[in-house]
Amino acid sequence: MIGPNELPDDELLRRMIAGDEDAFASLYRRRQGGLYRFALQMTGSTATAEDVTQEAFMTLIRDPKRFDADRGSVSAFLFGIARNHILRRMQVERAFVAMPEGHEEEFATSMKKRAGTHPGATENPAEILTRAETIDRVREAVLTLPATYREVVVLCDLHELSYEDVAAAIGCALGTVRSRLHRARNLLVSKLRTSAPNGANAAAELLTVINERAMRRAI
Amino acid sequence: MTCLEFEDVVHEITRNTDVVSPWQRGLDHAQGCDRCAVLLAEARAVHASLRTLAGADGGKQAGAGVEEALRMAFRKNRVVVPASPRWRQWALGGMILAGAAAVVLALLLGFHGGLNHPQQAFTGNTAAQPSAGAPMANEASGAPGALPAAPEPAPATNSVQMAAVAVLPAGANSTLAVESANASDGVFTPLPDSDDSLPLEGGAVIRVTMQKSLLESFGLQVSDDDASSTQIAADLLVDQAGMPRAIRVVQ
Repeated sequence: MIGPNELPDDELLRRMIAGDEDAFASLYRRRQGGLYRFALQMTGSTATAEDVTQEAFMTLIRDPKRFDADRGSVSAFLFGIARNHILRRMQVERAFVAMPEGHEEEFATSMKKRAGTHPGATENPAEILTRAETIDRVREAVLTLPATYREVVVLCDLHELSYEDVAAAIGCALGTVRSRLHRARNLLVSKLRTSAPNGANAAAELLTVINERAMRRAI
Repeated sequence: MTCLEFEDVVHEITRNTDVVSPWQRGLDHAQGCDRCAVLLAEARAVHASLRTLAGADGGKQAGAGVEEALRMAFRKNRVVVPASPRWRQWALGGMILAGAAAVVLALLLGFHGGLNHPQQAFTGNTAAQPSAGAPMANEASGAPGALPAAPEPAPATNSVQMAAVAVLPAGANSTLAVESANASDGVFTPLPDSDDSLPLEGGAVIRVTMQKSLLESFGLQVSDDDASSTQIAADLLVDQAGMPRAIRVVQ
């Protein structure tokens, strides 16, 4: 007999609608991490990420029949709900949420743990620190992207969702996802080059020109 | 491939490193163009950085408290499993039989009570039944807005009172008479998780309009006579603490 953990999402959702709490728990455990990280990478706040995760699943509990298999996967549906909650919060707060204090220390600690426990890890502390700094710079660059670009970068590049799923989650056409992603990546390259220790270089300037041109074409 | 075309696909080339053939022309172009080679290197660096970030965040997840809170919410909002047609037929048949038996019993009791205690039966129990279209009204007997208490000397348990409410016909005189003012309004169905230990005295019947789907979630069947409307009138039986105890459809 197949256990809940082996069942596909849509079957778990069907059982959940029929009142099966174990099916709901399995679906939650399978998908909560992705939603939490999506919210975290969109807002930079662990508290908000936890709230958004809870709200997304609460919405699913209250109105599970909103899911339409013809419009995308259960995962995309959940990302869509989470996205709506995130955007609503961002509208309310009317500001980009900065990374919380202590984040860098938390991350450095996790990197040290990883270096200490990973069997293949041979990095010295300097390498770990360099990587931690790199990650922080990337995280900050992602967080400073406009929300419409940020969400496609997070979903496509960090969560590796298909373009189809991203289109279903954010409710736009496939071509829009592609064009936004393209512009978002160009913006990221520019931000990362200008935030690098050596400052802007020719490539960053080049990318800025390309990005502006892409914007003009889109308009 | 021109530089302009290359700019359009540079990130796709980076993202699809294992799919060489569609992007081979782009790679060939970058090998012969310093400017595009720089672009490709930058795009690859960003892609690698994003993968590193994704890996760093990989194990992060919501706290255990979220799952517990959601499980509790799930139990409270548990969706009622739709009954199978055969189950419904059996249930309906059982309810009709039980109702008929209760009516006969109530009539016998009423007849017996009428002989012995002719003034103890309710006299105001057919009063002030609001129209089905009224958004909210109290169904009164005795004091306005109050649900009549089961009269002495035959104190009834709450479950008996609610059963009586469910099956007694309009106007029937009974020591258990907390009547249904309109027989066609149907029976009261106890709500899930309602606390039967609290007395009904001082409570009320409140007419409300609500979504049909919500009513169905209480296990009540809603007729499709007016399929165009999503709203339906229902009577809520609330106890003196204001907690809803039972519900019925207003036909």
